[in-house]
Amino acid sequence: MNGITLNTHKKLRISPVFLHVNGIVSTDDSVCNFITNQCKKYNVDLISMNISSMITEYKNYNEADTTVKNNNFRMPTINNFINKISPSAEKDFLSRIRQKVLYKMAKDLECNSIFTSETNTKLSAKLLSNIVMGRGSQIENDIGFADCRDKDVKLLRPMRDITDEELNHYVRIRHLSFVDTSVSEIDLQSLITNFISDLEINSPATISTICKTADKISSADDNTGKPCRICQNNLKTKLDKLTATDATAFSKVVSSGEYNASLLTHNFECVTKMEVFPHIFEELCYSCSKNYYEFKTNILMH
Amino acid sequence: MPAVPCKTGCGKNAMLKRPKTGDALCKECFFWAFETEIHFTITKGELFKSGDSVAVAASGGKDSTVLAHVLKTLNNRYGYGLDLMLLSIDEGITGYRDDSLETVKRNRDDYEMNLKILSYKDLYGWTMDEIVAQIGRKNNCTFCGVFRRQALDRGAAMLNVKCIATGHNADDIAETVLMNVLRGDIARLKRCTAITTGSEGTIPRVKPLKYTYEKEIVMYAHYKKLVYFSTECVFAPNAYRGHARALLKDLEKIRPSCIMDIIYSGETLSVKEEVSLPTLRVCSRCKFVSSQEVCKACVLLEGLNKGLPKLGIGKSSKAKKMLEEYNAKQKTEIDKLNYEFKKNNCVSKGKVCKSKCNDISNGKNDECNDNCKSDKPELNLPANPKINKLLEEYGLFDDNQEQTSDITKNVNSDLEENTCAGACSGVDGFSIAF
Repeated sequence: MNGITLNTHKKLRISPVFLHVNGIVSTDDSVCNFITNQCKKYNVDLISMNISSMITEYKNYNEADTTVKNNNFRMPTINNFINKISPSAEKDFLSRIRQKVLYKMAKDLECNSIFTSETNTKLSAKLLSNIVMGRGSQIENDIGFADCRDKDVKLLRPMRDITDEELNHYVRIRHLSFVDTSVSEIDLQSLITNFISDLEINSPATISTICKTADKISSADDNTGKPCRICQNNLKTKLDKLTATDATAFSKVVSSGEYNASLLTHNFECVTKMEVFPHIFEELCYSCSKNYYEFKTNILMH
Repeated sequence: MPAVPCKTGCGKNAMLKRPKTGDALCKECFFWAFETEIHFTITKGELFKSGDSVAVAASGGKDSTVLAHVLKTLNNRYGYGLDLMLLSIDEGITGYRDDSLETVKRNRDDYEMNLKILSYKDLYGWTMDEIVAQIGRKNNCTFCGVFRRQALDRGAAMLNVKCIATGHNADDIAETVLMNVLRGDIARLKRCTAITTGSEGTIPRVKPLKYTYEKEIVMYAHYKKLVYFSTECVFAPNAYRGHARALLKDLEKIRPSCIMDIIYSGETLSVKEEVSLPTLRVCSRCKFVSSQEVCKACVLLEGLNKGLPKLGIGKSSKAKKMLEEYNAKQKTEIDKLNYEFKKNNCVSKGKVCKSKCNDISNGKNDECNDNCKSDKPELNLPANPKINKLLEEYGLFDDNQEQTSDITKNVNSDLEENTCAGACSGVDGFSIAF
């Protein structure tokens, strides 16, 4: 582990552990077998685990459902959650849980750094996805070289400046083998990935521009606030007197027949917003609250 | 298909499904919800103060038409006490703006508001038709956008209003966020979601339709039977914006709420402290607000007037290089003309200068001095038709006859100091009323 300190710069001495988190996309055994063989080939330890096994707060789905209906926030189980939300929200939620898994495993394995293989191209897509999902304030940690949300473990992205095209050349020249797990789906993230792929072909300079943009963005969050229960991002965000949360919540009320003139004043904040954005800024950030609302609405309908 | 009751419980059957929320509403409830939301935006965002005079930027399109209609409605309904008027810019686009201005005039009559129309031709000496003839279809939106922004400010100053209300809708703002991310424009990314923009000393702009979906605006205008102009600009659409627009439309199909999510992202992100952002100041030429020493409008106009229409396109370093090349070329041309002039008047054609000034064999200065007894027009460049033509074409020196002897020496500094031939107050085309 001393290899990544500045004192020992001549040789990178680290003890890597490979972590494979499955269950995010439907993969068959061949993928797991491939990863196992690769790790054997390079003589590194492999830990493989299913994402759904991580969230164990509520094994009893019915219990979670009841709690949600009672307006108390409880972390929903993965299987319970993803079946009741849209594919875009599902992907967003899973990527957050995956991150949680990485941190948890790093701590269990006493690792102080996590390396991910995100390339410039993937991070560009991630940045746009973040913006599209309302996570603009979280770009610094999600796209930057280092994610410092956790005090003990840092998540680093060493391949951040390498594009997919360069990576493909490297793979070809080095005769490396890999498995392609990409599947075409109809969700925002897939659409953005396709958009970025087109950009990479037609105007490749734009990809690096997008990532450079990320380097200049920070969150307007107050770092002293408590983190979101799902994505670990700060909840306290410096907001203007009127934001999209207010406007969205107001629209919902106005077209549902629950409007009364007092909503234009003080009552709006405490009553309406919390209905449309459950637990917002208390337990959940904007995006996680939106996902949770989808989940909650679907439960109430069934 | 069975009738769907209006979600508000008013008892009527729904006529439409709101693109923004997915709720089925009857026509009247939709109108009411639409207008009340804008009222909420205005009051919560504190866009106006009672008694303010407000210029509604009117193009004749759906957004500005709906904005004018709704502002008038809300002004009456809630007693804002606003003095509303219409402000239009005539870019000089035949087959587009001339027709849309007719719509604005109709709005003026319908909504009983004063209307002020300012034209690019009057302000800058160029119409967009003429600009496109110079620059071509590519990049012409840059000219139009930059000039319009400034023209609106000028119009608002003439009308002496407290603020300008623009028809930017939620889709426009989300699109701008995406576009600024794609091109790495961090300064604009930071400010593009602000509901009120404008620095100290400038007339603020407000966006009452910031949270209103474009689709709902179209539906409102349709059901209200508002008269608006729906033709796209005849010139090529802005390619970069088109990129962002296409992406946004695709995203919206999958998740309509993404428009609000993108706006929220823009509202909550901030720029790192160490990133240097352009500071707003006043253009040294036209005295309007600018992030540069010379504002973009002046640079663009200078390019047009000098026959370098691409001067203001792209990075400022490019423009600087282009100007340096232009200046160098000018210097070479003027030197050449000076040389030929002297040659023709003093040496060639078998004539000998009696002033002894050209006594090259004596190693003396080859310029005529005060003792020259020849016809004494030494470097009287305007008398030379070649120079006249050159100056006429590039518009550098209008009637600077007495300065001609300094031209070769000071050409660079002159260009630096007096490059704007239109946007600054020193030129006829621009000195009107400003």
